[in-house]
Amino acid sequence: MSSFKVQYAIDGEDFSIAGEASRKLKKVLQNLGVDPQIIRKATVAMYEGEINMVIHADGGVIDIEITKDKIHMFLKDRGPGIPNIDLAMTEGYSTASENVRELGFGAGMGLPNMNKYTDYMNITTEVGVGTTIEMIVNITQ
Amino acid sequence: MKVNEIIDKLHLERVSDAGNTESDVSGCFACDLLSLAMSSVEKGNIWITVQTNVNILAIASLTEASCIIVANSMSISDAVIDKAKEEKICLLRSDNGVYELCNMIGDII
Repeated sequence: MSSFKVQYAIDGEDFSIAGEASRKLKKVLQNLGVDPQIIRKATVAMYEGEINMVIHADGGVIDIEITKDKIHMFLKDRGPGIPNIDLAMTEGYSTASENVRELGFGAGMGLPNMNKYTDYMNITTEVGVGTTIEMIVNITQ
Repeated sequence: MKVNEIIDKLHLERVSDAGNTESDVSGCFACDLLSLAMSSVEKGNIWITVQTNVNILAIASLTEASCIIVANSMSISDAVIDKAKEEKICLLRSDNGVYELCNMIGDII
């Protein structure tokens, strides 16, 4: 396998289909024969990112490149941006609405989980412009 | 122990038994925070929750939970039931609360 690229558009309007892109990624990785533990890391991180895009940013686009060494994910949105990344990375901190919390989200675990389950994560954000999160999960250690 | 045996012993309602109810149960996790469930439910686990929105199905699918048990007879919309059947996710329901279910499951697995 040299390189495999996929792109998923995330619909910010429809909470009911949040997670679809993560499920599709999981199937792709299973078909490529990636180790189940690596698939779990990538899909947990991707799911959290996908949910964040729906909750906070009205959707966006996720680009993924899979090589024999790593799963490289770029999550791009044109949402409100993150004013304070350090605060946003603090477990338990959330700006999600009460409605979202009632659904079981907004516990302030999204970004920390993304960081925990990836081998590299970088956030580029500008208030009023949007956010891009780059994440890498290594396939070979 | 298989999911079918758990269903019988705990007298669970089969809301959607489209999943593989002959699969083995590997353990149990109870939580209503979806992020915590996402990172903690292991393959083959029973997941107990009172959440009934459609996102619980994505969690069960991604974590490869053996089944979801909705506690306290919480109502489940037709849309969620239909989607569980479509996604082949075993969705169960009980009159019992989370604590009682954990105790009962802990006694039999």
